[in-house]
Amino acid sequence: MTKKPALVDEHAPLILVVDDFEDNRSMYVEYLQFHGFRVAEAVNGEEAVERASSLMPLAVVMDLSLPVMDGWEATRRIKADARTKDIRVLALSGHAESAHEKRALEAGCDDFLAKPCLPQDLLAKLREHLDPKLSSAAVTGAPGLDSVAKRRRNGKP
Amino acid sequence: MSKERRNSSGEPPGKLVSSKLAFLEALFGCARRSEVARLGADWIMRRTRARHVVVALVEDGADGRARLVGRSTRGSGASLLPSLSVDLDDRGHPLVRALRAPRSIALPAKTRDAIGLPPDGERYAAHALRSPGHAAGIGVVVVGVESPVPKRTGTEKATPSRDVRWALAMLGRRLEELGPHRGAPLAERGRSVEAKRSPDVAPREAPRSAEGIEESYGRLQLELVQQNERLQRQAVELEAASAAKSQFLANMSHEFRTPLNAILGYTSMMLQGVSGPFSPHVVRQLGRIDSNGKHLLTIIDDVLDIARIEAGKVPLERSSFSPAELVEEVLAELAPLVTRSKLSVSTEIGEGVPPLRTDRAKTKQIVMNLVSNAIKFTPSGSVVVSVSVGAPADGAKAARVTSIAVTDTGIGIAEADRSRVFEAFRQVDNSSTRPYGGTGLGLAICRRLAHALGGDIRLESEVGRGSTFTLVMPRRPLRNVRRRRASKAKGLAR
Repeated sequence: MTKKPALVDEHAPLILVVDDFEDNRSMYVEYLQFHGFRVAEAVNGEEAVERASSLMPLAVVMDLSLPVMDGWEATRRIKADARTKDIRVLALSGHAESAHEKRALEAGCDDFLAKPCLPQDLLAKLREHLDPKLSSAAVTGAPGLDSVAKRRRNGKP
Repeated sequence: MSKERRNSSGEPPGKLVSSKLAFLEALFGCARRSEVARLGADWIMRRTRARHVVVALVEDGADGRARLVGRSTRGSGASLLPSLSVDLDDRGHPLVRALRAPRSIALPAKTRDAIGLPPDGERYAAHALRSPGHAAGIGVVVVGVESPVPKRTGTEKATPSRDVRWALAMLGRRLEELGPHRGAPLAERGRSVEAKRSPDVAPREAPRSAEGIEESYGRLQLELVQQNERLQRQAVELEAASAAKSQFLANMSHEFRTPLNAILGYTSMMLQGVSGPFSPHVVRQLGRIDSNGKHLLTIIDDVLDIARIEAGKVPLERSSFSPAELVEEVLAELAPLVTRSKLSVSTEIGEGVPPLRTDRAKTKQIVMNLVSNAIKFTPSGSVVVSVSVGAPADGAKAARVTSIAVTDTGIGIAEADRSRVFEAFRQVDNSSTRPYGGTGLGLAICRRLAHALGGDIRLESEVGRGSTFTLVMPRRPLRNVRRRRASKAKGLAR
C-alpha cells in the first residue's frame, strides 16, 4: 500500500524525522509519505545535523531526548549554521513539561509538540509552518501536496 | 517504707538539693574507697534516719579470692566491722544474693545476727551497689530502718526511697571510678570493661572539678558539632531525594508517553485508512483501542498532575484577571458539551467582584473541571456558575475571598460520600465510573490545586436535588493579605 520510493515524487517537499524510537519514527514517516512528502530519517542528534546539512530538508521533526547528541544541541547546531538556519525545526518530545518546551524554543526550535502527538496533528503543524515555502516550491514546479495525496489515495502514482 | 518516704520528703526541696550537692562534692573530692563508703553510709543514714548502715565492698582477699568486706557501720560513727567478710562463692549467703539481685532484698534475722547488727526494732534491707552499664554489683549497702520486725523473715522486697536510690547510684559510680572492681567473676569483669570502653554506654559522670567541667563542656561542644553535621547531611539528602523525585516523575511521564504515542498514532492512522480500508467491524475495534488509549493518557496525565502537586513541583504564575471573564471562557470552551447535554447552563456574576491575583491557568483548570463535572452528573435541569464576593458561612473573613460556585440539579452526593469525592480514584459509586466517564481524579486534582493557590473547594449537596461546588479563592496572594492585615491593625491603633 505505502511502498516508499516508487510512489514518492522526487520533487515533493522533504521532511527529516529524527527519533531514536523506531516505532514512532516509522509511524510519522509512513504518514507523511502517505500525504505526499519525501521523508528522511535520523536516529540521533549527530545524524540529524549531518542529514540536515547534506539533504537540506524543508523541515526537521526533532525528538529531544536522543542518544549521542540530544535534540536541543542538534537544533542549536542546525540554527547556528548559515546554510541550514532557515530549516524549520519542530520539537516533538515525550517531555510534556513547560520547562522542556522553554528550553526547546531557546535552542531555536520553531515550534514544540508534546507526545503523544497524533500524526495528523504533526501534519497540520507542518503545513502551518511550511505553507509559504510550499507555495514557493510550487512555483519552481513541484506538485502541491494536496495533488500528490489525492493521487495516492486514488491508488495512482 | 512509708516512714522512709515521709522522712525524705519531710524537708523543703531546697535543703535536699544543697544536701545532695554537698554529698556529691564530698564524694567526688574523696579518693579513698573506704572514705567514700563512709560518706555514703553517713548520708544515707541521715536521709533515712537509720541507726545502722553497713557498706560492704567487693575486695580481693590475700588468697586472691573475692570477698564482700564490711567497711562502715553503726550509728553516726565510722567504726569498722572487721568481722564482716563473706566469700563471694557462698552464693546462698543473703549478702551475696543481694549483690547479684536485680532488686533490693530484705535481710533475714540470722544474717543480721551474723553480721553483728542489733535486732533493736530495725528492719534491714540490702541494696546492691552498681555503676551504670555494669551487671555485677561492686558492693552491698545494708540499711536498717526503724519498723516493726516482720514475722516472716524471708527475702521479701525492700524498695529503697528515691533519695537512697540516688545516693546508691552516685556511690556506685564513684566507687567504680576509684578502682577496678576486682571482686566480680571473670566473665562479668570482661563485660564491665567492655561497657566502660564503649562510648555508647559510658556513664556520664558528674563533673567533679574545674577540669571535669571543662572536659564535659568540650564533650558537649563536640556532640553539638557532630549533630550539626548530621543535620546538614540530612538536609542535603532530603534535597537530593526531592530532586530525585521530580526527576523520577519527569522520566515516568516520558516513558509513558513514548509507547502511547505509537499506540495512538498507529491506531489513528488505521482509522484514517492510511493502511487501506478495513471492515466496519475492525474499524469499531480500532475505535475502542483509540478511546481506551486516550483514556489511559488522561489517567497518566492526572496521576502525574497529582504527584507533581504533592511533590510541590507545580510552578505557579501569578497574574491579575477577571473571574467573570474566566468563567465565560470556560463555558465557551465547553460549548459542545453544553449543547450535547441539553441542560440550561447560565452564569450569575455578582456586583463589584474585584480581579483575582493568582495563577490563571490553574484557576481555569479547576473551574473547567467543576463545570464539566456538573454537566456530566446532571441528567436534566440546569447548571449555574456564579461569581461573587465572600464565601458561604464565612462571616468576617468573607470579604477577603472571591467565590466561584457551580450549582447543578444533578444526582447529588450523600453526606457520607462528601469527603470521599476529593480522594483520588473516587467517584461516589464506583460502578458509575464507566457511564460517567473520567478518571475519578478530577476533584482530587482540583482540591489540591486550590490548596496550592491558597484557596479551597467546598461542597454542599442533597441527594436527588443537586450539588454546589464552590471554589473559594483569596483575592490576593497570601503574602499580600498578611501585609494588608498588618496595616489595618496599625490603623485601628491610631
